[in-house]
Amino acid sequence: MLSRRDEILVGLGVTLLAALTLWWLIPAYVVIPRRVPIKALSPAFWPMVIGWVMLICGLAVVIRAAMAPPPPDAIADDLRVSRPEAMRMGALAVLLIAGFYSLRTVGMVWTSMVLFVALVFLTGSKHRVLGVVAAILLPLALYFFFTKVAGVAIPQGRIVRLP
Amino acid sequence: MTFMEALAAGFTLVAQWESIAFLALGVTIGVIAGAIPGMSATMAVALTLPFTFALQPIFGILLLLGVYKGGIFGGSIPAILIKTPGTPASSATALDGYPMAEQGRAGEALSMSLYASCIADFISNIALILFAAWLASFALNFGPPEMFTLIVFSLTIIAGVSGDSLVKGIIAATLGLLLATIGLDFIGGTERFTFGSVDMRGGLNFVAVLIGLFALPEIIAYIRNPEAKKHRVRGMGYSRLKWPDFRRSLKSIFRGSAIGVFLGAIPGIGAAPSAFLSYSEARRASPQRENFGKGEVEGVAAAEAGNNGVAGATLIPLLSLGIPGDVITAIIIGAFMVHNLTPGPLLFVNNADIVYALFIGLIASSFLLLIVGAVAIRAFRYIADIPSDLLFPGVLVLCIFGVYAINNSIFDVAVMLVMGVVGYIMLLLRFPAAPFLIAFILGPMLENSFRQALLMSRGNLEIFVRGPITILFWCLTILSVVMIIRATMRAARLKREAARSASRVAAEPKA
Amino acid sequence: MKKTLIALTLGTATAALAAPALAEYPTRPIQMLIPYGPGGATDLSARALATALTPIVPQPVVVSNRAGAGGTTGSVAVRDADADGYTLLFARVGSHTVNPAMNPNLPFNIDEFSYLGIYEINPVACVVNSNSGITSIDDLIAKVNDNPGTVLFSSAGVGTLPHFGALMVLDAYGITDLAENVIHIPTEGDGQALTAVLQGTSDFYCGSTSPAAPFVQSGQMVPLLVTSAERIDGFDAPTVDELGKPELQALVGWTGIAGPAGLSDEVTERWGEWLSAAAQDESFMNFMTSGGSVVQVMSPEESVTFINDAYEVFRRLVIELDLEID
Repeated sequence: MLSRRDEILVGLGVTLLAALTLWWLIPAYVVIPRRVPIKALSPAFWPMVIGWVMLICGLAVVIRAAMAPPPPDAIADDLRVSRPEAMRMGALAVLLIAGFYSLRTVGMVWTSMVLFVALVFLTGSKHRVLGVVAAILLPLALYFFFTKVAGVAIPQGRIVRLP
Repeated sequence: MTFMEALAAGFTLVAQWESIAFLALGVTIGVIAGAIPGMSATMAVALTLPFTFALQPIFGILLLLGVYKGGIFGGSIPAILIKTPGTPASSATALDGYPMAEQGRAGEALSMSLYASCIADFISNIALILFAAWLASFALNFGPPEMFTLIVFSLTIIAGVSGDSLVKGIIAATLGLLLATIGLDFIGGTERFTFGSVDMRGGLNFVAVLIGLFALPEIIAYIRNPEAKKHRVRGMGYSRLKWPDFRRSLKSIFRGSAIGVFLGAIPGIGAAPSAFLSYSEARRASPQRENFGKGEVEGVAAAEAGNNGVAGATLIPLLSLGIPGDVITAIIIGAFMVHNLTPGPLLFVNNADIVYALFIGLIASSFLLLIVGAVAIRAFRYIADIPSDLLFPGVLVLCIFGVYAINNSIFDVAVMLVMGVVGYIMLLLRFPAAPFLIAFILGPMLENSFRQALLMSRGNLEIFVRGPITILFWCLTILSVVMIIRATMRAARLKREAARSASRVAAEPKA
Repeated sequence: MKKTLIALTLGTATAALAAPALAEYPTRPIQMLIPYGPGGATDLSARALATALTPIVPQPVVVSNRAGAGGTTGSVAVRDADADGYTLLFARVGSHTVNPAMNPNLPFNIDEFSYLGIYEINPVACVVNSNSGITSIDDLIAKVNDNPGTVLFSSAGVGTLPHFGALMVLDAYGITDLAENVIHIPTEGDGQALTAVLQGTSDFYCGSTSPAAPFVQSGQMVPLLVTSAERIDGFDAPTVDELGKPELQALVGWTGIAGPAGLSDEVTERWGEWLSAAAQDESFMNFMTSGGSVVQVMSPEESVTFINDAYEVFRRLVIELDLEID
């Protein structure tokens, strides 16, 4: 359970998201055709309905959190992130973003190997040798399965191509 | 040909060793393909199809049916072991299956999933043989207005999987509904929330979203704090399903099979709504309601029964009307046509021997599934023994390959990664993931059937109460909404009392 | 152990690198994208062709689906690929004629592709439910005229062949103001569109013969016309020539192979040979004809003319009848 303050913030966040959807995203990014025979058939109709339900629920979260007795501190979740945790998550984010962009240029197999090894070392695993072996074997096995058996062209990249 | 002659002719067709061999081969291919994320049953059937051209008709069709049946069960294996459902339908299995694996009860969950699958599959096949004609006429009366009311009713499931806050469950659901509207508009063909991207025009891929939402948050949580999981006893998928657990789940299995049969007979619904409906019904009726979502074996049973109960029943519209109930049966129609067999009412007249051979083959497939599945469980449960520090990087790599393979799309990989972050934030802020997913799956069906119905009636809302089926679903919806409101009020009262006594306890030492 | 593995991996990698660079096309597997999902008419036709090509093409042909937005996503993926002949597309009437004609906001043009050859033609048939009492196209037209704004037709989605086909047929029979006089119900595929006719949700469907064939053969649906030059086995319906509407012959489906613009002559020549050879394959022919398709291999030039002609006819009608999607 979240603390009262966090719950109110979550409610406000949802309300804000709903408001953005209703008054910015829908007018700007839903193209309405020239001919709409009935209002309920407009492409914006469902998003509007969904947006309004979201808005009401967001407000309901705020009101409930403000009115109901707050959970005792012992039960409330702590949303704080410790320093090493933040560093590991940051590293993961960098790895995933870099990995994603290298899928096409370096190739999925090589990227996966690097990603695997990096994650093994990032988490301070004690199975380092086994980790490296698995990091090499798993992507290769997946590559051969998908290309040779399932007929999926796994992105090869421009540097080193596998058979 | 009389009934008995046709039956005898069918029996001779199946009673060749090749028939059973092809069926077993199909089930094996299906289970393996289903167990690999990104290789859906649909893909496995599509890949197998060209090989059936050269076979005798009955062998080819049995091979494809085997792949189909095996694939649907196979999807539950990664859902339980690594929370990576390969199909939307097996995501309901992950709700309780993965917590069980976390508790070291993977073997139990897998066995339950297998038994529930086989029983539901068997019931579904029997329903196909006995009630095909009756269920087909039901399917013919199921137009867009009926579909809309059914989906509205199905959305009430959200209440059952919302965890401790219904409002937050509804918010998660609206988010799912909203993301489901991305892409080209169904009626007008114009763009919605595509932000100028070509890839977004096609909408977000189901499996990419659901793997991102389920599997990735686990990985992120593990990277954030590796110590928390390192010491947890997960291992050994050797735990056995206990007889009393199986017996008390039987009711849910039968109920789930019945739900599967009905929904499977209606073209265009698919297995996912059935799995979720069966799961929520089981939860509602179970005395262990509180334990659902935390590793309840009955939840696995219900989800898998709902999922597999569809498998035989989708053949009802196929065989009796020639209508493909889902993509897989559409491919199977192709296999019929290659051999100059026309699925539909004429099949029973012109090729009765094939029909009965098919029926007998289907029944045999339930038993073959039991055998092949048991072997597969033995082989795959070692995954439960892999230490977390190697398992999670491996799952990430598997997800990248698998999600790419669905549609040969790097964009889908991006969708998965972004949904992983969304899923992790939802986890932190205590938003349940299941309502999001159900809404994402049902959203397009809800909107499309609503708009198709209004097109039919030219805007007249009376079409939504046009017949007994629609009225039945409206009544069911009202009934379950009333029950949800009552349950929520009761829970709120209990929570208030608990909080009051807790604060009293907390206040006392200070005084 | 670790070192051996790394050495092994590097070994294979260098071996892969060392492959001759200037050998004859193809030196590696050819990836072919299907711009629609598994199980659809394009998918089945493509997979059947790929199976027939396996013994003919010296390298593996890897067929994969890239569905989305009525064929747009897959088409754009191939347009943006290298024009080396290793990434090709199964182009279809929907993705490369109807949709471009109806949708001015499409992110690609049909002249951004090299066409290696059309290999399949599917005539269009109009079908109605056999309980509807309609037995000829004149009955249907009379029904539309008597009940303006109530007759419904189903399609596989906005901008697909059945969407345009129904409107083109009605226009040929003199129905005006189509947006007011008939109602279009999009569905998610030909299977669902035909199911709608069977359920009575929709009154008629004008699309490829292959998905409609089982329903016609079993007597659940009545065909009203076919757009082929000659009558089709199993479809007891007059051709558009017999009906005096020869201009409707332009309304046919097709499947062909396309690549990014600027494919080399070598690639084009090879594919011409391979397609002709595949068309001799018996089980491929069986599969294609069982659904009412005609296997007809066109040369690249013929294909381009064919596609452009069809596009022109459709585009003119779209403008004339104000059918643009926007």
